Amino acid sequence: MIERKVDLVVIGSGPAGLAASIKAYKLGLTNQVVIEREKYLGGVLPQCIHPGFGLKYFKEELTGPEFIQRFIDKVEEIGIGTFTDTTALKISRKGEVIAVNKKLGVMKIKSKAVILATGAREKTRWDVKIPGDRPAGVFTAGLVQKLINIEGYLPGKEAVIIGSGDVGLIMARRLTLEGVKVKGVIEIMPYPGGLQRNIVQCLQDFNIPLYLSHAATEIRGRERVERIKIVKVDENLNPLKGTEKEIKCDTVIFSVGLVPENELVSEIGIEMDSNTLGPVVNDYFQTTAPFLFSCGNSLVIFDLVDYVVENAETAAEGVNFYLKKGMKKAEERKVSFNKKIKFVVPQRVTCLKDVSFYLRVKKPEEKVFLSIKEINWRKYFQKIKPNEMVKVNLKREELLKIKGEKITFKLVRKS
Amino acid sequence: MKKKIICIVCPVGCEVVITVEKGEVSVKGNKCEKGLKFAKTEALNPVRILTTTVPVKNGEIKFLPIKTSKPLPRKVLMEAMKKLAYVEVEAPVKTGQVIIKDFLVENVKVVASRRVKRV
Ligand SMILES: Cc1cc2nc3c(=O)[nH]c(=O)nc-3n(C[C@H](O)[C@H](O)[C@H](O)COP(=O)(O)OP(=O)(O)OC[C@H]3O[C@@H](n4cnc5c(N)ncnc54)[C@H](O)[C@@H]3O)c2cc1C
Ligand code: SF4
Repeated sequence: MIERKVDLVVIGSGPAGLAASIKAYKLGLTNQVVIEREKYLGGVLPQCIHPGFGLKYFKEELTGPEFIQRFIDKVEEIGIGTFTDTTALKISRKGEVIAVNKKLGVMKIKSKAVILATGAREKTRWDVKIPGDRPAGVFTAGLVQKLINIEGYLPGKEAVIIGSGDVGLIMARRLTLEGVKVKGVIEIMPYPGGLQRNIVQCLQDFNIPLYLSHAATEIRGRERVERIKIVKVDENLNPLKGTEKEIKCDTVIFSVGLVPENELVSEIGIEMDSNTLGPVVNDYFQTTAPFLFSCGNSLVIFDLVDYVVENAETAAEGVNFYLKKGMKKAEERKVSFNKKIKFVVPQRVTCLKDVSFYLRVKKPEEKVFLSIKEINWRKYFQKIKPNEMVKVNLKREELLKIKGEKITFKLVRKS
Repeated sequence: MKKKIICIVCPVGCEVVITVEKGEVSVKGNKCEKGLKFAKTEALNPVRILTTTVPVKNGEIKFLPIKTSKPLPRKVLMEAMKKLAYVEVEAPVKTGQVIIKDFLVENVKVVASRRVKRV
């Protein structure tokens, strides 16, 4: 067994992991390792070959591979130790990471701090419970993306996509360009899950039908998928009789959302947030286990990689602060919010620095104020949608105005 | 002619109304200059960046992600894909390396989106 002693272990080498690692290195934490399960660095970005990355961070529009290449080049240039083909299996309460590498076997890494940047996993057919047969030809959108862009295989000839999140929309275009007939995108909600720009450039450009307020009810096929049944739903998502429809296809692709990947921490017993499905963190992205920090999609599902990188860099600053000065776990204010809001991250604030809050609303709203009662702060939104994460920057001086132990976000209609 | 389009230049996604009368183009609803430019081309001749992959020989990976350096007219995208089906490159490849010089349209290049080491 290989044993190592380091100051920092970063688990996951997506944009979150690499950005955190580089930032920590620049702050002087040179004795660190990055662990990655896949054969290559970069997380999901090497397979996201479309443009749309880095508008905020690099001020130019890049493809996923271009975006992540800049981080990989930097990691190689400064010589950060990376282990690919290596899966972290366990983190102990003392910060020891057990990992297994295909060639080297089991590794035991003693570390003073750990950054979790394990990304997300895709929800599947079983998460949305669609009955029927169990034929071949059922995929998730991210898997199809990997098959086509990395491995070079097409999943089938005629596809139906369930769920209109951005990943699904982007795959609708990608499949069409590769000659696969995309017969429709089925969305149960009355509005699309993905960005409007993706509806335009991925569906409308190629005349792919978008079935809003439609649910997939059955997948049929003996060995391979043969058809899918869909039905129109009312505003309470109940099926409307007489609107059933069958679509012939050999491939069904689920794009029904992502779930933060946090299996590794389930044993340590840190506090989790049931709204984000990630750990509860303070504004340094420190979890309730002081040595453990979380960032990127394993903390909360971000839609923009720019925000991922930003919060990963803050997590690295947090680790540095924790290791060098010893961050006191003393004064933290709790973040709360009203019913219209789905979550706010971070869930705690130290009031030691300026803070960026990331939040999502539950439903699309128009003409609303987002307000923070305790500091008399508010911002007007003409439109606010669940598929577009809202970012709010607050200065430390403003946060220090809070008298009690709480900071409350409210979304209210303009009266 | 009157057309309602959604600006896709940035994630804000403004609804832009464009009217063409006797060759005069007027645009409403855009929040910035980029939107104005986009709406004009979108109504008359929509263009898109094309991204796809091509096989790479002797590389650390099997497929190289590529993109066009400038947007292509939307109506030639499928034709472009057919042309690219016959393209293969050989490692090593540098990020930004030009794979094809004038691709369908003069001054539109096909470039590599990442580096590929030779193995
Ligand atoms: C199809 C698609 C399209 C997108 N389009 C855009 C876009 O246009 N613009 C934009 O800004 N963003 C886009 N995004 C979002 C962006 O890609 C993500 O926000 C970002 O990749 C999240 O980064 P991450 O580092 O948190 O996670 P990931 O990139 O998922 O990286 C996590 C890494 O951790 C590794 N890992 C997990 N568990 C372990 C373990 N136990 N041991 C070792 N390693 C482990 C995984 O293998 C993976 O490499 C898109 C995402 C997808 C899927
Ligand atoms: S008009 Fe400007 S702000 Fe509006 S979507 Fe287009 S680029 Fe973005």
